[in-house]
Amino acid sequence: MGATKLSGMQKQVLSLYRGFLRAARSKPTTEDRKRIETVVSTEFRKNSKEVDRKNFQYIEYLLRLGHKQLDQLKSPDMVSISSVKIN
Amino acid sequence: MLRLLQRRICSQAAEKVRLSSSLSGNGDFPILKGHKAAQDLSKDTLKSHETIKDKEGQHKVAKKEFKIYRWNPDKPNTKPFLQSFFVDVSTCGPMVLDVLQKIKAEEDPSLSYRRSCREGICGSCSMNIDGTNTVACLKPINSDTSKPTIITPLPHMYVIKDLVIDLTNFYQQYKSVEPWLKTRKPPKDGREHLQSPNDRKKLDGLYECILCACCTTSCPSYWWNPEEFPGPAALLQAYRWISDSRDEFREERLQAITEDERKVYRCRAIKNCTATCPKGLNPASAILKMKAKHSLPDPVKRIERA
Repeated sequence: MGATKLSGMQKQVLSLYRGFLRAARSKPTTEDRKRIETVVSTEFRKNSKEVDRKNFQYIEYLLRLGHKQLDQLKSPDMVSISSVKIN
Repeated sequence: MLRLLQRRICSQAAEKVRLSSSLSGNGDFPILKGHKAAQDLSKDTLKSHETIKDKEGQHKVAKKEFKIYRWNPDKPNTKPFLQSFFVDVSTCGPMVLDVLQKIKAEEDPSLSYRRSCREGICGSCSMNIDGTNTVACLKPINSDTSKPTIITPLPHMYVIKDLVIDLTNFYQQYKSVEPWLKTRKPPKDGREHLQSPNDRKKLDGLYECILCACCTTSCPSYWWNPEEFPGPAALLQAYRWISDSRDEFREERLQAITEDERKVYRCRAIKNCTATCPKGLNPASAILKMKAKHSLPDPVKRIERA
């Protein structure tokens, strides 16, 4: 675990990640659950490497976007999410 | 016979339009009678238009600088900045929205902004132009070419891209006011809830709100407490439903909005809202009336002795 104390923003990011995983657990099939977990974890890990720690504006933008997507995902009609890479 | 009547009516209306649309006139448009905000706006537009015309009526080229706030989330490492665009205002429509359309069409298609009706009724194109919050489709261009016009998004709001802001909090606060008719009984004649013309007049100045968010984002009290304070627009709508004679939950609405310190009583009568409203409405007076309604009892109630 991190020895240093987590900043407020880091806690927000982690709680959003936890929210996504919890939403994934409430979906009906294991396949859907796995798909949501992989999409979300790749997105978070990619952003953690690429985005500068001090770029608060962009991090807050991504947090707001993530919260909106999480609210959509929580509804029982939503079954899974997928992402497509366009070059 | 009917055709003769039609022709006469047509020519009378056409005559009025011809007289009022003379640009060298004093801007007295008969159709704007009673709407002070619209009359002021039309006078400003005429004044701006005069400065662009030459003596012979020819348009001279007039390049004006527009500094527009830009930030792209797809390029996260660039900080927000003001980009300068030079536009020939003599070949462009009179309003700031026309300038934005021209820039997007000719110079930079990546410029993002919301717009819909182009006539000041939808409230989509609200932004901060030269320090004032207004809707871009009703704000005439200040044709003084020596000074740049600065266009930024509505202040103290989270930016999604360029001039587009996140208004979900604003809409949720509007929803929290419960802006629909609430009744206990069905209508008397079984079809409509009737209302006298005098009662309908009480709603004038309240129903015209286009929810552009200009007033709410100009209120310092809202800047410091956006999660708690509903903002002048939501409170204006709350007062609109409190003063609607057809609604049967008027006292409950007033009680809900005045019960704690976080709703109506966060208002400090700063009156930025009234100064900036593009439709000329007065949210400050509506809030004051709600405070008065709450503090003073109904004049007809009898005071019971203990």
